[in-house]
Amino acid sequence: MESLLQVDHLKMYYHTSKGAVRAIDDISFNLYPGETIGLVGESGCGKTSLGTSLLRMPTPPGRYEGGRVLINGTDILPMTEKDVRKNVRWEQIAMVFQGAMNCLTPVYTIGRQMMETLQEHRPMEKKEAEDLIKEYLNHVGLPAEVMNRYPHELSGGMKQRVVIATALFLKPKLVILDEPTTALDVIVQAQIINLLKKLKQQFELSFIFITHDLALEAEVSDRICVMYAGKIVELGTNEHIYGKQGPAHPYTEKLLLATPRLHQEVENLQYIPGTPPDLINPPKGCRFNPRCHRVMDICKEEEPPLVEIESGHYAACWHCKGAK
Amino acid sequence: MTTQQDIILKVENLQKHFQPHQSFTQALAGQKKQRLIRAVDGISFSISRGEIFGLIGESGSGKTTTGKLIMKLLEPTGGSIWFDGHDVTHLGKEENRKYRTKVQMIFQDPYASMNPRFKIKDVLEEPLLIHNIKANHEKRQEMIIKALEEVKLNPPEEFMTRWPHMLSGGQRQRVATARTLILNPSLLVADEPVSMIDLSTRAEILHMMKDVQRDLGLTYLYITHDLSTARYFTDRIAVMYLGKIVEMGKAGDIIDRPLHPYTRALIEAVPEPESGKVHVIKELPISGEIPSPANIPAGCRFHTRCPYATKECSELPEPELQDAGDGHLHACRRWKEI
Repeated sequence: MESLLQVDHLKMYYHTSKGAVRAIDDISFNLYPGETIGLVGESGCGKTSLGTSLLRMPTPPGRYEGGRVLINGTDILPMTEKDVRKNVRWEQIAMVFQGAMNCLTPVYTIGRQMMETLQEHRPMEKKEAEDLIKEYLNHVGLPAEVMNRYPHELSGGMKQRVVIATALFLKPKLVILDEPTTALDVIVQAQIINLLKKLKQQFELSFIFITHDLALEAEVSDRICVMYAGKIVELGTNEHIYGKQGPAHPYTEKLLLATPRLHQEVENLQYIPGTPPDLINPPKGCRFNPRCHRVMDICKEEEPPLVEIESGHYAACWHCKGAK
Repeated sequence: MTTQQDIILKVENLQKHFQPHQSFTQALAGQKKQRLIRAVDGISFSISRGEIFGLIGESGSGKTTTGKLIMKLLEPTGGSIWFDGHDVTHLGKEENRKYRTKVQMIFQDPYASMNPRFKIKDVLEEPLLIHNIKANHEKRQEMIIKALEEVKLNPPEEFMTRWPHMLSGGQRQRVATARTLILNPSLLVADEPVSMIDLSTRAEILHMMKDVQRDLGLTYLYITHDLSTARYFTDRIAVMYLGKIVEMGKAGDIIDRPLHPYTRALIEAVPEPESGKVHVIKELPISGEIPSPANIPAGCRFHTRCPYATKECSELPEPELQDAGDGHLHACRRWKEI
């Protein structure tokens, strides 16, 4: 199958006065049409940096240091900014930013802010635009009268729905969702997840779903990409990561053990001691070695490559077969 | 059943109603006073010494207001609070200060709850100074070191001279816990202590809080919206909905055998890290969003969202908490049928 998005040895560093922070360090993966990929990891592992890099808008002082980002076969990195705006950003890829629902302008009505986004990209008659806004509000399960409301009159779940509707306006094929439910209650979270699943089918969308919650990722993502310190440490299908056999990388294994289970009595939750490394001077060898419970001599010397350990299941660990 | 003596905190029919302000123009226009916001609407529970008690609910259920009432940050408008056999519902300034050495709070956000210009030793010394703990400088240093050791920040001498920005989220929450422990309290109110924290750090903090609780024989009131951490962390749970407790009992009982439809919906909504659910659209046995506490539905307050509601539920007076056996309390009229 032709991939919708192909990320090829992408590198993006933040250039600070102390040195380059290697936030995205040689990342490659493919995303196929209609698929959801989940990006998981602790804070500071590069999930959000990867999201903004795919939109060609790394946060300053971030700069691309190599690699390619192909959307429908076209590399977007060498394009001019004007070209990206006109043809890529929000047209082909959209992003729902973390906490976006709290960034709605408090002094404009919902209708007016949605209108602004729409008119910027698709100048059209006001009446026509209003109808379109109503249609999209309807798609996300909101009544048309929300148009005349102000953000403070809406609940968190409703605001998140507005933000999702705005992201879908220009009919992108890929939507990056950065922690879309983190600030919401469990019931509202479940409602939003259901909504996303429906929209995905209806509009034939692909998602990149960024979260630190492994339990939530299990409900939405076809494939899971576990990141640690700017690198992919494990990439596999939902079954590979959450199935009976269990994940391959010790980091994924520990993250899963740190996730509390509702229907299991656990005496003591496990956790990963220490903190993620400084990405200006990452540790030698495997970046996870100072915190790993299965560390060997080779882990401190050489970095393990990301190898395919079974069909479609990749891991970067010296314990996995095929690594040596 | 626990004896009277074992109960450290007892709350009886506690209420907090807020009167919304009427604006000047509204008053001039002669508009009627706005409805009362019934944030906490008559709840009763008691916590035994050495127990971890969880208060669960969505935002808007009144769980944080309950925490604040117990901390004496808000004055209740009805009901009573008993701590260690004394009535603490309304306290004067001096009594309040004394009360707060015994009841301390751990806040949600370890980044915002610490002065960035204080070194860790200053952060920990402040409660001692505020509460006039009569001790000289050396004695205070000793107390600080002891508190840091209790939360496993080793070596304590090294952490004392650090600034908050040099610590990770997990270490900060440890310092925040040490700050509450330094006054030797017997009850800790923890309002969503881990909801802002990363997954692996969350496990670390809960682990630490449990260790400290065991070592020092503390009692916790743990306020959260997250049932999965509550299962791991608490002994007993009370589920709140719109200012009322709708179900209360042992943590395992509530989660494995929920009786109230609201508790069921909460449990259904929790994601579990298991495969094979990607293409399934979850059926949630609940509709819509939580109503405003200024406009609580008549009858059973959950009937507007309940899939099992009948005409009776909206017409008959609100069901009170009743025992289904084994101390498992619930407030649902139709619990046997559903």
